[in-house]
Amino acid sequence: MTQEISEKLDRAIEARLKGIILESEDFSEEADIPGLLEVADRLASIQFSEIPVADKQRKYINVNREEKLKINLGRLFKILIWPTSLSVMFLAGLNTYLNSQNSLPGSTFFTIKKMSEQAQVYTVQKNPTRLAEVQLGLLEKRLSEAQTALLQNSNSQVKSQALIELKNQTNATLPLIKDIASSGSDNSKLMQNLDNINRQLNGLSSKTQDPDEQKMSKSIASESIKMTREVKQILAAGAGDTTLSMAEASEINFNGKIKSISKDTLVVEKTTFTYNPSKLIINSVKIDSVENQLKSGTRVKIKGLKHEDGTLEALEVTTLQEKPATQTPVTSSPTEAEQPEIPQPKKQETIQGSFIIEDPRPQTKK
Amino acid sequence: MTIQELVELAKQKDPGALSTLYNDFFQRIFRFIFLRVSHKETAEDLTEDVFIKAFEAIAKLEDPKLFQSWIYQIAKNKIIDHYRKSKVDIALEEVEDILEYRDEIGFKIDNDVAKSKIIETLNLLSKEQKQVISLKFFEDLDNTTIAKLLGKNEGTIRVIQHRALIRLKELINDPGNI
Repeated sequence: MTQEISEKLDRAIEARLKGIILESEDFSEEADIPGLLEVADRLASIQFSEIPVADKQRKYINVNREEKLKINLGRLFKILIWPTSLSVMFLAGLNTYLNSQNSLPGSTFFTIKKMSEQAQVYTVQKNPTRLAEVQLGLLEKRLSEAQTALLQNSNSQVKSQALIELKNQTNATLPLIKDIASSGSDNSKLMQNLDNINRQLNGLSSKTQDPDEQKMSKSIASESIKMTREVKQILAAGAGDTTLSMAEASEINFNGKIKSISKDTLVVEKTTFTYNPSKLIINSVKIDSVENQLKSGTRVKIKGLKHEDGTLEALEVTTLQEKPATQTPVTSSPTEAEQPEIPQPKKQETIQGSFIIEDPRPQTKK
Repeated sequence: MTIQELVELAKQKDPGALSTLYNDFFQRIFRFIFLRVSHKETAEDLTEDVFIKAFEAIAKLEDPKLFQSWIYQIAKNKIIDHYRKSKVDIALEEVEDILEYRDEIGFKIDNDVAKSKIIETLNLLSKEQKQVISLKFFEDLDNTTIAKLLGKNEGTIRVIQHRALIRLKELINDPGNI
């Protein structure tokens, strides 16, 4: 095969592709060029059926970079407009939300925060326990805001607004917890949080020098503690035993000589204690017959409770060795006991013939 | 006006000449690209890119006669770039075989058994022969362009074409080979 034959064949093919038959060419002496041209003709006659026509050609007469850029920007805009808008809205919303979480009453962001909280409250509206938990959480937030406002020495309007918000939230939360307590649902977590909040509420007034703010803080704390006490009473009543005393009554210790014993009372020195024979513990042991174990004249230490109505209940009696004669017996002083100073020292002591009363209420910070 | 004359004017950024070249070559370049990417919209976009690049650089084209092979070379490079950017669709080692048609396109032709038989025989040619025949007879490219695309000289293209036709004739006449 020579280059010459290939060139001759190619010339004939090029001509045929342009629709020209080279009559003047004589291929008879060449290596089967007519046969090859026949194959070439057959190849040239093949048309593809699946090749589309480009639509875009009609759109662009003059193609240049600017035109392409415009088209591409247009396309890009169409493609990205929605995702971009949504992303911007989402980020703006997120930013606003995050800003609002640290806002104090009176600011625009605070309104947004309250709206999101309202939405949160709405979602748990049908579940009383969850609702109480959410409201209690909000109460913690309001308390924290009030503390921040007072500590940062914000302007008086902010501080006042923060205290009002705290008061409103207290009023919204405590009745819910009371309802939960009444219904007998599990409330231990709520109570724990509430006690913690009460402790902080007690200390709120110390964070400001302004008398009005102090007064309002104390009022809120007092209201909260009062309602908490009511809740605890409900819980105690529900429990149906001395937990009432444990919850609400003051713990007392008393030393003295037994003057008399009856089936449900015990007179020590001049003080009368009631007791439940089936529950009284004597010398760390629960005894069936109290009268057999305790006798008049025995010096005892009594652990018990002073109820709100002033009655004293003995829970545990421990007999003591008779004191040496040199020691002056101390007479009990019920009057003194009945008017304990609040706050009392936390350390519990036993003093002969007198009461030490532990008040379960939170201690006021001095 | 010949292509060379149009190219000369286009080098001066003559809008009319650019427009004519664009209209004359658009569908051919589109077809060339479409047969290798199998996706109409992609082929359209790549075709646009080819013309943008060509018209930007046309002033640097020294020999106007080479315009066709030059613009096809740009198209080939665009297709290679396209596959390199979308590695998931095709392995990089296959990119250099870009002058092959994509399998999914195949050689779908009108219901003509005789023509279909020729297409089948094409697959029995060597890769080089198949490329030359396809570019010459199905894509109407001239030898200069084919030589440029395949990186060979025109004489070699003619010889490959000659050998391919001989082999095709043998295969057509001897169905046992198919």
